[in-house]
Amino acid sequence: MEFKHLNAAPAQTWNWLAINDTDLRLPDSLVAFLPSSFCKAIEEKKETPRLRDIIEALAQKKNTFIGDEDSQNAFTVLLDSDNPAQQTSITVKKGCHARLSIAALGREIDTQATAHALTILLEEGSSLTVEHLVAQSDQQMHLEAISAALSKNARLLPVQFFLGSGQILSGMDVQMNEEGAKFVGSVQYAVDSDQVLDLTYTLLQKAPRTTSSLQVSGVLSDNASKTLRATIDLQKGCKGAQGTENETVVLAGDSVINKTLPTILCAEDDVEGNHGATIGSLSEEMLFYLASRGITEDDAATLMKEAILDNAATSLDAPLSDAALSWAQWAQGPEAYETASSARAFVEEV
Amino acid sequence: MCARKRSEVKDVDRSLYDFVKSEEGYERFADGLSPEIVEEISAKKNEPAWMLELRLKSLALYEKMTMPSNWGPSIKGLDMNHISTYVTSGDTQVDSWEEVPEDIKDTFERLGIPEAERTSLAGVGAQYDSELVYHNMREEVAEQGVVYSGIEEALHGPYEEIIRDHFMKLVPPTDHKFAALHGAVWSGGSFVFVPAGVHLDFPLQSYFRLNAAGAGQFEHTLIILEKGADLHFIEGCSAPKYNVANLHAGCVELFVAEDAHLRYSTIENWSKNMYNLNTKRARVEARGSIEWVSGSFGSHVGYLYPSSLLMGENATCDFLGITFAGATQNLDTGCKVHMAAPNTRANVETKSLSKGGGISTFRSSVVVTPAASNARASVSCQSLMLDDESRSDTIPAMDVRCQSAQVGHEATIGRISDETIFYLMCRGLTEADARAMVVNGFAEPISKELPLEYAVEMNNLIKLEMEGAIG
Repeated sequence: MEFKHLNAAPAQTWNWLAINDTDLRLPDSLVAFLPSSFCKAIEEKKETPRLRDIIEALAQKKNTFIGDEDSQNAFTVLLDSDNPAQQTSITVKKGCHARLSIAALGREIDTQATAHALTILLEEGSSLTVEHLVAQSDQQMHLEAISAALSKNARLLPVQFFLGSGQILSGMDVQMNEEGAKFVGSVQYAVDSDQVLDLTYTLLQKAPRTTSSLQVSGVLSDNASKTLRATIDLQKGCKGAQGTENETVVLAGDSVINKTLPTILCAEDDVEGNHGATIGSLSEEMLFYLASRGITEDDAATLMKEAILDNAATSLDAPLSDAALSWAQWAQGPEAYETASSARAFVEEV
Repeated sequence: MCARKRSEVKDVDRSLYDFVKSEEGYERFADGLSPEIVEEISAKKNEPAWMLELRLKSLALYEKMTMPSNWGPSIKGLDMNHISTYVTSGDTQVDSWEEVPEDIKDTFERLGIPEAERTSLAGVGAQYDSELVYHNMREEVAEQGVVYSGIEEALHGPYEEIIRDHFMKLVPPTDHKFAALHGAVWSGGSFVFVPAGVHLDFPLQSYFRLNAAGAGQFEHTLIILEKGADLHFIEGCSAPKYNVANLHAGCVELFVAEDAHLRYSTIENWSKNMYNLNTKRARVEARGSIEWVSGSFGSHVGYLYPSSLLMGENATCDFLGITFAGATQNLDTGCKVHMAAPNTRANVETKSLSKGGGISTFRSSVVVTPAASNARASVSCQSLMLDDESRSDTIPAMDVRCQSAQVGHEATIGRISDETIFYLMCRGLTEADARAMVVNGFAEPISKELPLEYAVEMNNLIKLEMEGAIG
């Protein structure tokens, strides 16, 4: 089953660039989960579903989490062959903090696609750290749709690592509805072989003194393809708001495709909006420096990918960091596993 | 909390351009589009058969094509059934201002064109509504083999074959709906041919004036630079304001050969009832360079993205643009760069100002193909919001498919910071002077690249008058 115009950017541009949105051919392993009523509505073209609609229709398991003063507030969602399609809702109560870990995992032989829809509601003064790891085989696919609504002074702190999967579509919509709400997002990826990574972030700043910061970095090698649509929408009334997005892409393959659509929409004067992007290979000076120390260009690309893996192993909490190490062992080889394990041990010791 | 007291930045002063001349005695084609109208335009120009064929094919394309529904300002207020595609005074083109009809001459005198020609230009073309009324070039420039004439004139001379090989080849009628419309009803414009190795010390300038209400202007500019040639071409345009929609759907095609250099400067100051759907494109061969200097101040709705195709090794592109969107304006401007050869370079720097409910959108694309090894591109976009009624959006796209390429992009949106004003006031400036200094400094990278008289015109256009106090 095929779907069109998914993961769409809210403000679009020339269609010939084929960057505004993406199409998806849903694998049979997921189509089997779709309710017949949903399929019928699609066939009759009554609906043009969004990525979230599709995932919610697929979800076989529903999780509801509440972060409050009485609980430990650490929650985990594991997407694997047993539970490939899930829907999660989390509310963090006023002044509380919670941590949510989401892992979409696979082994070398796995082919099962996974999908997850997440709805976040953050009450006044609350905060939520979302750790998100995708570490799958080249035969797998992962779909993710995250929506968040932030109240006064609430903070959403997502940390995402996209280490591997044949195809990843991930969308995140964040609404900073009340004064002082804050989004600080970090995204790192290593995409290789024929993998496709498609990311859309829409950060709506509706209220005064809201803040958004999105930092994206990654390495593309072999025939990998990556699209990033990142939109900061400074809406009328968000006086004193600040929005920043930065992307660094290292191109480490002859046939890579990198598409970036960094957008700032602004309907308010007393704001600051910034965007920066750097796309390219390592500079000649840097390559010379590395070569003088016996490191080839290929070695450098491998080191950069390993650095992202190390970051995942050291910055994610267990069980995600364990999952990252486990993935490294079969996907990247024992050397990468050893390096990441050592990095984690060092950080833990410090 | 008390409301912040704002400094005011006044609208662009268009009084210089906002005067109307009578159309009495003019020939005006019926509003709307039909094959008969297209045939009539072609017959009027006594064109070769291939041009009429191109026009009719373009009209068929126009009828089939649609505007994109997912991006760009609305053009719902533009009804082609109420646009006349051809209006002329009926006067023939001359090469002496003395022979230009008094009304039309007065128009161009007011716009300062004859004066500029006398002091700082190598040649001038002046179009009034659908036809050129004046064209002239210095003798010493003509002696070097430079051709500067109307397209229609060139179509009937030794350059017909060259025009046939280049006309709407860079911007084919299939490009978009209004490129197709242009192909069908184009009229007027300029043909420039600069032979190999010839450098023009002074610019050539074409000025386009649309006087008629409810009319369209569809001039075509075709410039061909042979190997090692060097030219600065200036384009100016204006119109008085009416209560009905006017349309500008011109087309500019620039061919820059090996080692040649072309600077294309534009000050666009159409009136606020104008739909400006213009298309400009340059093809640059090895070691050639194109420089765009673009100021967009007028129009009700604007779609304008000069594009550069860097097809030869070491070809370069520089784009400097400023857009001022005031009340009732929705200006969607920017540029496109297509890098398709090794060691190509592109540098894009744009500024935009929004005020009084105006909408300014910067839109760009940088495409780096696998063939563009070692390509370098830099895009910088700065937007200044002068009040909270306006909008300023930046939508830059990058598509990079070459490992050795380096592409950098930065964009900032904001207001004039109180800290900056405070700093300048501490050094003795009044607040108004401080704000004027910041805004002039903001526009300065563009204005310093314009010829002096155009820089003065731009300053006149912006006419930033500051009032108020620190909020």
